[in-house]
Amino acid sequence: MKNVILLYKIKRTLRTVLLILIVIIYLSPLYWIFTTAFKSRAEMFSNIFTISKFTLENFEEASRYGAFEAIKNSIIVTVGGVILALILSVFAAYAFSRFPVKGKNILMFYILSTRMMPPIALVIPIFIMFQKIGLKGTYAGLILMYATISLPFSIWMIKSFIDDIPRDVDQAALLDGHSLSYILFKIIIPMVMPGIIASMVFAAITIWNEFVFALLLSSLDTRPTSVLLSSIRGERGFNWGRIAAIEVVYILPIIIFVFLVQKHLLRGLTFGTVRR
Amino acid sequence: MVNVKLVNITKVFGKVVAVRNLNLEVKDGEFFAILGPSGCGKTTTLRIIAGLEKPTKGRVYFDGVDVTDLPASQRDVAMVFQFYALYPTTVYNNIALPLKSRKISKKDIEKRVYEVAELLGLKEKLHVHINKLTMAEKQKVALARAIVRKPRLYLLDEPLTILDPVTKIIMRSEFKKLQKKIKQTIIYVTHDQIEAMTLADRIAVMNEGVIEQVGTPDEIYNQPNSMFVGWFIGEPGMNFVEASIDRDGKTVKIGEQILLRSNELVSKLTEKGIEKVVVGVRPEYILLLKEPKTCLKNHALLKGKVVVTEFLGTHYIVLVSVDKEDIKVKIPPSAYPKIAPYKNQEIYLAIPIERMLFFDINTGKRIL
Amino acid sequence: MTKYSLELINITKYYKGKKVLDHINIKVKQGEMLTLLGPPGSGKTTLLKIIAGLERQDQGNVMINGEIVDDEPPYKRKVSMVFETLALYPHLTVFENIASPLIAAKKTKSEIRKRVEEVASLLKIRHLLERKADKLSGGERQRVALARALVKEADIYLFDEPFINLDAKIRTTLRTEFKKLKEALKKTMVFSTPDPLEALALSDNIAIIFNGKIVQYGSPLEIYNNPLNIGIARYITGNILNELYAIVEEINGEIVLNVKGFGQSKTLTVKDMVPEYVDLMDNYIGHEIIIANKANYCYLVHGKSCEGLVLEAEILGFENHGSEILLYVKAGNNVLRLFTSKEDIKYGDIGKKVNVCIDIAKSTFFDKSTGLIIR
Repeated sequence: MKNVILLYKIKRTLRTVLLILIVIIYLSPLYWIFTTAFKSRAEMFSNIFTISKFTLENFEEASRYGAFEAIKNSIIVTVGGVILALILSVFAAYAFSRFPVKGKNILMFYILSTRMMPPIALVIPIFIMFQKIGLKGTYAGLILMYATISLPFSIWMIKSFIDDIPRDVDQAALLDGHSLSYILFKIIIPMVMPGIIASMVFAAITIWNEFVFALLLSSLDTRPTSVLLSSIRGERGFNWGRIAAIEVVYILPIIIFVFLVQKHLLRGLTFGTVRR
Repeated sequence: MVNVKLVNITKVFGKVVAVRNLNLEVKDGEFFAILGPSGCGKTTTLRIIAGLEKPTKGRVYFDGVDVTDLPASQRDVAMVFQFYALYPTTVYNNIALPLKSRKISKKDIEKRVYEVAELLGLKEKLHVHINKLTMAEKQKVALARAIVRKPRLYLLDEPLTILDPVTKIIMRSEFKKLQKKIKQTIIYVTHDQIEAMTLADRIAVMNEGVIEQVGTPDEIYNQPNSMFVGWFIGEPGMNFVEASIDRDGKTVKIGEQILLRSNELVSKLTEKGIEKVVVGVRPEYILLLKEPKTCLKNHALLKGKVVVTEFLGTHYIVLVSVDKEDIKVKIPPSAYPKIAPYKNQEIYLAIPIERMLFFDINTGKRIL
Repeated sequence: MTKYSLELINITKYYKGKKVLDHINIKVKQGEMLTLLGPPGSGKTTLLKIIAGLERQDQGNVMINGEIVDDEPPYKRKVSMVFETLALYPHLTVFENIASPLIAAKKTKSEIRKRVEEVASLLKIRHLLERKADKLSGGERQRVALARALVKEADIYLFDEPFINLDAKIRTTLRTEFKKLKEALKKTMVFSTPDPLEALALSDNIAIIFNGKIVQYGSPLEIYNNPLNIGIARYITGNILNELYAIVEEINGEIVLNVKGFGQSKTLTVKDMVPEYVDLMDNYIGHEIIIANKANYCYLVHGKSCEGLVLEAEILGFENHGSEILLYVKAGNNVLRLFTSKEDIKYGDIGKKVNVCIDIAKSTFFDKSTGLIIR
């Protein structure tokens, strides 16, 4: 019996060591980016793991290049897109869940199918449409586009959370005498907050990283960071320091955001598995 | 067969203390039930014994060997769950599976499977797919799968809850017969007191993570150690009434009414210096009378008012209010028309003194 | 002032082409408690929701206090309901949950506080008022749901299987408390449950619903003693019914019951056992009947005489109910149940042969082919 316990403990230790190795491998690119961003040009390829001289010159270069305007643009279109998507999807999800909408299943499938198409297939028609309406190069245009591509996932996610709330809750509130808007805002939405936050986070991540439509629909003034990074190829190769600096500024906001909401995110993702 | 011992087991989930400082010993070959309401910690305790859960504190011993760090698969324990958890294949394959991973010859596997199937009356159904079985048969397959491994400990987690009443009764007898044949230690978790009282040699009654009492069914029923046990066991549970002790008058009173007078029990209570006590008595022992009968020896007589009556087919439960305390009385259908209780009717209760139990008003533990 | 608080007239409802409720007719008096008793899926919840106005019937009318309310929305009907799922608002406190109907009715803050504390005290949950509704035990949630229903001023209170998800022990404790409450409030109530014991214990009247139809209506005692057919008899007695088959015969001018299933012939003379049935049984000569006997009118014979039918049986198993034992025996082809005291039985007795006495005088008789009661 004692031998079995020892063997088991050895196996467990080996497993832990393996896991640590995997984590190190995964995190090393990130580590490279962060160290490179704070290194001077001279050190760039000599010391891989350490920084002897800590410098902010790459960030100064990045800001001259327009990095902070690009970050500002990223933030504007992401926040705008997420909020617009949120408002629309909550109403749509509630309607789909609670009301006998004609052709509901077809409609839901249609909405979902819009995400099945590769974005690149839509570039020409979208470009022409936006230009004709005069939305090309504007924040509004990008926000509208991003809200649209976020809707399918958000509607589906929030709808399934609302579906999990028994109809009896709505009916109890009706019987109490509350209006439909009270039921939606004071009862249903608070109850599905984890789902709302989860879809917000996914939308935010998608929009923040999006490239194709950003490239297509933004102007020099409104271009988000993803577009900026794509234009970074210089004549004499890549300025790694500057790239790394831009990436640090690009990665940080989204990491902070997800870190802040992670508690709600976990609840949202595992919601259906509560033991009764 | 194995002797299971739990020493100072505590299990915490986040902020919730599921099991608190639990000490338990299950003897070799015993049919032991852990009984308690939902959320009392009985399933957690079972899972700790199985090795599916690691205790936050405390040790688990099988025959004196510390197995706390041993994973479940190494403990030689078989578990049967509430929802049989069978594989979608034939009865034979379900029963044979635990043996297949142990490198036993095909012939031996067949022999063992047939043995167990015979034991449980499943021989005819061996090659039937489990989809075609009744719930009871499925549960029998789950049981067979456990038995075929010849483990030294069986753990059952409310296996009969989902079955219909008649099947339940038959399965219960099967369990008991089985236990006598295979002579193994069985630990059985349930919230159904009838099941525990019927099957077990000894029962541990749990509440909110602690064991309130361990004893035989008779001990638990007739000598509950705490108010919780008195209330939980029996349908309806024991009545509890606050009473005060008057040392000078040498009486025990409920409100202004005298319950006991100059009695051995009164002296014992006075000796302990108690002023207030809780009296417990089971509803089925109390007599309901329209007129006070003073000739009843060894009975205490109380006057009260009828609050509500409940008709339950084979008996009535009459709730009587005695000085703001509610007492339930169980009477057979034949007795009801003689009294014809109605709301606020004046009524008398005769309580046999030998059936009275006394509990500490603060701790709920039994004094006498 | 109309006599009836609630009247349901020919209520019919279809769901996906099937009749879920079939011409339901019920009248409930002011202050009366009616229980809808039936197995799951029999249509009880649908009926309650129709009364509340949360669902609409396909045919028929709902009348409350003498007025047809079919077109009135739920809130206007002055109906309050406890849902089977309780439907509490988990993100709100107990106070906010109970206060919900009062908030919707736009009552003042002080009024709300007073009413909520009143009802909470009544249901013994005053100490829970500030707690979030999702942090309660089963019994506590039940009380909150009850409080929310009772705080609302209504003419009719509906309870949809309110105790269904609770442990047996808490259920029986709450049941008695609920009965006390019911007697104190004296409001019109409609209660639904699949548990016959609950129905018998709590109601003034019971309507038994099978498959959307009312199969019997009456007081608890009436239904228990005179179930209209064998199906209802089995349901209402809750698994303690013993059934024996017998053929009514005429032998030498005497009407006898020839009990089957025992290999040998066992006859009972009707005139001796149940003289009031002599004329009735006359109509059933040659027919097979069911003798239905409840387990508490069945005994173990210890050599003494038996005023009924004596059968040889073998012990199959038993249930320890604490104060008594429910014994299962096999007599001929039948499984019989009887109550006996703890002193009489031990586990080793399984398989033992005993004699069982069935008190025929306390039995009910049914026509085997139709299932209907003979009386």
